[in-house]
Amino acid sequence: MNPADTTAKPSSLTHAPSPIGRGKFCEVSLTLPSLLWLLFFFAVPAAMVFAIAFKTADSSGGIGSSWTLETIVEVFNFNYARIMWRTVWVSFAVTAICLLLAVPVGYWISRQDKKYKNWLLLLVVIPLWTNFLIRIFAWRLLLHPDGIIRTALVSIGIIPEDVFLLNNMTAVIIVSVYTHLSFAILPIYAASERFDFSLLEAARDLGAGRFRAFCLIYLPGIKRGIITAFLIVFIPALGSYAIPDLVGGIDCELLGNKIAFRAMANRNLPEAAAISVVLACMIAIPFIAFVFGGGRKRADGGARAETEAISRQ
Amino acid sequence: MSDFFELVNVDKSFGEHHVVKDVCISAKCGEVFSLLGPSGCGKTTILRIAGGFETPDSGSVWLDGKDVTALSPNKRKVNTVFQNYALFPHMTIWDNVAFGPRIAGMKEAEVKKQVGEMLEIVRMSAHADKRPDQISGGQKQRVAIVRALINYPKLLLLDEPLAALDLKLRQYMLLELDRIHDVFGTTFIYVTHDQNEAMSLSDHIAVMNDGRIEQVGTPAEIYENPATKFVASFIGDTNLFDATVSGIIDSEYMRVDIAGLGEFCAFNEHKFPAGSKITLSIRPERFRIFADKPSPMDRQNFIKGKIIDIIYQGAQTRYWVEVNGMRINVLQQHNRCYLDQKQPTWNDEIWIAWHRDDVTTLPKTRD
Ligand SMILES: Nc1ncnc2c1ncn2[C@@H]1O[C@H](COP(=O)(O)OP(=O)(O)O)[C@@H](O)[C@H]1O
Ligand SMILES: [Mg+2]
Repeated sequence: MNPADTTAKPSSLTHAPSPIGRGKFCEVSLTLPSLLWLLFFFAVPAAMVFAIAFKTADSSGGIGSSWTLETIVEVFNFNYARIMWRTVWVSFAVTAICLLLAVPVGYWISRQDKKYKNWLLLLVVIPLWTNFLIRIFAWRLLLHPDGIIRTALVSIGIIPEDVFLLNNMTAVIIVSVYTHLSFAILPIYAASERFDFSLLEAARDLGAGRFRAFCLIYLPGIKRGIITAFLIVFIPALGSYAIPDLVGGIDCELLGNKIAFRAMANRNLPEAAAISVVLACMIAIPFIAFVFGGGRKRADGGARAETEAISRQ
Repeated sequence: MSDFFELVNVDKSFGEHHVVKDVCISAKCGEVFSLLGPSGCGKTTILRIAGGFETPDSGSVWLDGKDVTALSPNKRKVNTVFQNYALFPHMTIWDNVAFGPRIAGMKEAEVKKQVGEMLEIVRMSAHADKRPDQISGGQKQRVAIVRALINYPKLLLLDEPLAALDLKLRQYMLLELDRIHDVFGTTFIYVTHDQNEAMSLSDHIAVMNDGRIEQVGTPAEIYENPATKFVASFIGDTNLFDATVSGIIDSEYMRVDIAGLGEFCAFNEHKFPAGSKITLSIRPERFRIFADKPSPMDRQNFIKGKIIDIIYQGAQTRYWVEVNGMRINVLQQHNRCYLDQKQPTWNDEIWIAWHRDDVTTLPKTRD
């Protein structure tokens, strides 16, 4: 506030904080709680994990006092590389299958009559009401060699007698897809709900067949939903350990299992922390690439497009 | 010349809701044919049937001598300018216009040439690299039109293309549309609820009400000779009077008794016999105002009334004249002859006169 203003205004007004000052105060006071929350429950633990990765282990299962790079170097040995590769491809496979299923489902639900939409969404989230572990155990029953799914498939002849569905990678992928599917459907449905379906008619009008209109107009139109769904499935899939543990076989160990094993069975916290740091980097690098990639695109799309995009979120 | 585009006995219901009722229209090659009617009367539905987005429950759609009723939208040589433009938001203006040719498999060099020409025609070349949310409504409109026309459709469907624009822009785009129609010579089916748009652009107008076609004709025919009460009141302002034919004067004229006003002469276009219940329509601009009782004039009717409201409109003044409790809408052009007279004011007792040929008679069958 410049001094000329202050003198010109009635005294009662000069006591009031300037609009700019008040705005800043509001902003800070509104974001402070969530900032503190993030600081204490996310930043501090993450920093601790990061720090522990560079500590020595002590024999009683605690953390030693000196620093070392050995543990993190250890993570890059051949054995871990295999598991890391496996973790990445399984996560990609699960994410891809989830998206392939979620896109048509999200599209379909958003095209239904208003009356049914909420019921259909309810069906999507109902599985989440049951404990995650219990649902995995339920899948153990379903996929069991004598369970209904395998016996049915074998009896119709879809799979041969010697194919098993439990305790192998197939089981891990089936159950992972099942667990994450709801989370993939929701953002895609939300994006689809905002999508202007008259654009599909416009594409058809201009000569595109149904499939081309879907690929050229609908998929780019719900891009944000697809990206969200991708992240929301891919990131937890990278860190999953309960599913491979319960329905996977000997060759199904993922990075998450290694971390759990080091932390709980071996009581070697630095090693668990080191694997976690590597895993976190694996998640963070594509994420940062996405954020920066998106940022660059927005810059040339102009300020107006950016505000539009933001207000649409 | 045979008709180029035809809807034959088209019917369409959504559930219980009968939206299009036995509609027949036919447009000639190269003309602008308008569907004019109030909102909700089924115009968009008819356009969607023409574009292939809805299938009629019964009836057929003919284009250039072929029955296209069952053809899907991408197989019809018909393109649409949607009411909300429906430009693809993730594509540049250039890519939007190039969409049709690319889908059709045109070589990229040829696409480039054609898109360039099209954008030139609507003066949008400078905005080719922008996205739809970075250009104005009028510009979107022009892009939507060339995006459709670049496919050289046999028929261009336009759904209230100017409805979203403000008045000035609307007037400009109306001229622009006329020019584009001249450049391409494509047959336009133009949907609007705005009679001025329809009047100034169309070769023929079909006036719709509640799913039915009330009248088809040239703008002048529809204005001068409305076939129904609805058309008379929807197209321009008019005064409608319930009347009874009280006598036949000769082969051309009759005496009519307007309830509450008295007996007058009118042109008996439809040869109503005495005793018929009819509706009369007299346009406000057909009345003339006199301060004193005019001396009996040839073929004129006149009646005494009181001015109860005056609305100055620049080029003209609108008077509301009360006669026996009835309000009559009278419009006087501000020509020199009129301005030189003493201007009537509120509560003045005046006389209004009209020629017997200026009365349009409507059968009192349908409202
Ligand atoms: N897909 C639909 N389902 C149900 N009713 C519809 C549908 N499309 C249009 N209608 C109804 O049909 C009537 C005519 O609509 P429309 O053709 O859009 O009229 P206009 O374009 O003349 O305003 C409206 O009452 C509208 O509610
Ligand atoms: Mg409409």
